[in-house]
Amino acid sequence: MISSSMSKRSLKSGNTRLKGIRVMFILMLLFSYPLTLGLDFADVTLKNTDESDPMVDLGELIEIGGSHIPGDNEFITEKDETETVSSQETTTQETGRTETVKTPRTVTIEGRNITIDGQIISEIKTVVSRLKYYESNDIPVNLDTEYAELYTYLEVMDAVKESGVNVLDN
Amino acid sequence: MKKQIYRRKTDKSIIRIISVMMCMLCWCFSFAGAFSYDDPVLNDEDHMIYRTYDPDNVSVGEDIVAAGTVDSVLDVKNFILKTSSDGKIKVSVGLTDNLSGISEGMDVRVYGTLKTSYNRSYKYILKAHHIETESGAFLKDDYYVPGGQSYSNGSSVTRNLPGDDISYRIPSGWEKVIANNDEKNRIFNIGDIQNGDCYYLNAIDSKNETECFIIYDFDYSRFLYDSDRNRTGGIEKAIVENICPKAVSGMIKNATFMPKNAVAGFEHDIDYYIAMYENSYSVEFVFVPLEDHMCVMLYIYNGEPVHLDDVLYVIKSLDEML
Repeated sequence: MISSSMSKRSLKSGNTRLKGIRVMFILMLLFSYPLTLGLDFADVTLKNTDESDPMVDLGELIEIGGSHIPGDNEFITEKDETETVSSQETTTQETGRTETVKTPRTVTIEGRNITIDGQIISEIKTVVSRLKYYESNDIPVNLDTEYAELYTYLEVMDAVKESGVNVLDN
Repeated sequence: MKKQIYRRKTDKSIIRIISVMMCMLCWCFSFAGAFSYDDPVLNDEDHMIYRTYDPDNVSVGEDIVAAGTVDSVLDVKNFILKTSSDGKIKVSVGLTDNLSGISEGMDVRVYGTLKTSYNRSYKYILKAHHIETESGAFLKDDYYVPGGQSYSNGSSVTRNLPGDDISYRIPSGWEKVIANNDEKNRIFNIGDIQNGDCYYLNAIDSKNETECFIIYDFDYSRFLYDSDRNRTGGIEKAIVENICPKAVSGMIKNATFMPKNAVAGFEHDIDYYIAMYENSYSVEFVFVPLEDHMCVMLYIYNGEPVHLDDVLYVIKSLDEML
């Protein structure tokens, strides 16, 4: 009688252990998925990057995007080193072929010669887009920092305008 | 007695293991919880692009669009479509849908996923996602977005990212809105990724609100330590957090990071993420992990994206050309 109750008890304890192992096994399976997810997304350090200077500058992107004009550039950009606003177009006869030569326009402001090239046009567009952004978002312009820069560009724009070339259409 | 002590010990150790695991589970869930967010529009089942059905060049599991005439209606869930290429496909709709309004002889366009059929009369079953009844029985282009644009490879332009094996097609209107070198110098801060392309899609419609698509190649040898090269999720997270830091001063701030795995319909593993900014700009990231490098795409828009169909076409073309 005693041995029978003992064997029942040991059988019961064996079952409990087996159940425990089974539960553990199921739990292990359940845990493994989120654990893998967690490990997969564990931090990776990027080398040759600077946290304060992201790979893609979204601020610049949004600023430029607002003023980008279709056809502003050639499709294949590898070759277009600088844009030039042509002040004069001359046609030359060279080995029987007609070609158009573009020379960059230069304007003089307060004794300084400023060449109207792709870079300055791009800067002017940035200023214009920034102004638009400030206006549309009701952001007050900081006169100390913004105005001096704007003033120069507006002068450049006026000078170019007087010469009959519309910078923003080029 | 000894057995009882042993059993108690075992029980205690099981409880201990379970509590440790519960803690780990909580940690994992809290980690995953940070990702809860709306679906990126680029990975939404409502925004999918379908390749035109070509019986000679098709694979099971692919998302395709087929047009033709309803040959016979089998029941409320199934009908036979006689396509313009003279093949027959069985079209099935989902459990909750039915085919009311579809009748024999009707011209339809069906968007769905292709499955194998074991019936001799038709080679494939098309599990329909959308059925259009007004659009006719023929398809002239290569890709279609339901209720949206269609695209033809013949009229698109193929672009290659220099130095690597990444090619893709852009719709013809995009060639005029690619950023020039000066702009790219300002946008891409690291020399090595200036081989990327940037398209100002808002300029197509002469709008001032920036909508932009960027694509570049992320070279593992340039940016990663050897031990991290296989941790794709971590790499993608690091890129997202580099471009959209959680708290930066200035115009853009408070990005939220969320991973979203690929939807069906692409041959390669494509991972999607979204970052939303305080000033309502959304930045969607699309990653295509490749051997030793990764193709990174960004889609930036404010409010509702206008050129979503175009972007879907570009990603689809890249997937097919890899």
